[in-house]
Amino acid sequence: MELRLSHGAGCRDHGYAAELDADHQDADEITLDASNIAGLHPLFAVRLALWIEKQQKAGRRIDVREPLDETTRRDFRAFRLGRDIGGIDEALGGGEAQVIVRPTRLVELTEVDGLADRLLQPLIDQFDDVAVVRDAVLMAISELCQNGVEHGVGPAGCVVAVSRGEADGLSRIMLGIGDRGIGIPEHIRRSHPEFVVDEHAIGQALEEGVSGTQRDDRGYGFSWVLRETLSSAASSAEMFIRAGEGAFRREIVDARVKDHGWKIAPTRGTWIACEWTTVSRPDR
Amino acid sequence: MTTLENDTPRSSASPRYVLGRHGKAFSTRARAEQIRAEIEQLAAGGRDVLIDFEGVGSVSYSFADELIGVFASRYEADHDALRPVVIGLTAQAQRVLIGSLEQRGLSDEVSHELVPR
Repeated sequence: MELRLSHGAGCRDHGYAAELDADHQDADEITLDASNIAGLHPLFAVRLALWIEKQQKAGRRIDVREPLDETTRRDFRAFRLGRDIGGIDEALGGGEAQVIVRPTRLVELTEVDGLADRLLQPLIDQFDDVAVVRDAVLMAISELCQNGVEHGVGPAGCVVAVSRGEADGLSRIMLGIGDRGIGIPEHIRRSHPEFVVDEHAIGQALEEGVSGTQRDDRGYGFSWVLRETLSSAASSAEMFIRAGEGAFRREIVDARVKDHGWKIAPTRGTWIACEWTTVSRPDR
Repeated sequence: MTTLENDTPRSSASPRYVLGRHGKAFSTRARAEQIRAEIEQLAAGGRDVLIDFEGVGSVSYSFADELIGVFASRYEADHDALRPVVIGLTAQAQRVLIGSLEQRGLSDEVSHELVPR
């Protein structure tokens, strides 16, 4: 069978690409036609890497048609899509300037520390335009990947990718994280059963001190990503979360925070995209 | 105050734990718990320990809270408990540490005593 990705699939819904949720149980072989896509968010890289892995584990042969758009194809190759998801030793994008972290599986909490430790110096040395939001990026990787490993499913852990791009002549740093765990709403309802609507539960999880752990000192990770973003020189930022039957978007423009949640088709796991637009220019 | 550079406690000095020898970025509570255990071992029942953040470029909220926040809460509850004195902070690490102590509701007195401004 053939699965053809539409033009905007790599960026729509921050790269969630709902087409990849389709069931292909009857297929022995799938041709994934990505030739038409333009733009590639790291969350799409995470989604696609996990989709390919899932199909291969089910014994299906996957044939991938790469994007025809030159920039998208370069990122597609730099993310090493179609190859096995690597660990932290292979995480850094190396010479491919747009890809900062390839899709990388984190299973142990020590790997979260290991990724942040490996990433710090390249962010200082190689990416001037990331410097203004570096603290926020590292806080997000630390706190959100820690959640992903703790709440993901056993050996699958979570998968993270980071890249940068351009928006209206300014640099944009993008982060994608995915896991196939129970999802934020179910986790939060362990200690807050009153949050019955999934998008509301996700929104509450972003507030200070709200956690599924029933511990007073937990539930501050998301709020610290926000605090570090507000402390940075980002001209705007956005966080998009999809889990259960809820989606939630937090936008920050000129230090003002705007939240919006809505109902969606059921989703397995938690999928998070973060973006920071900097005042630096990408050609620095 | 005399300090020791090589993590060797001596009765008349405060041992120093140099965090930068173990990495440049610290993320998780699990890592903080491990380091807290090492610091408790280094203190060997003594009162003060210097925790040197020199060369550390990034600390997450979870790490800072599990390491310094937990020590600080114990110290506020019992002034005979181990007292972590933090030095060598970047602006980022200072911001996060102070935030952790605020969220724990520690007094300004203890917060200023442990984290220099």
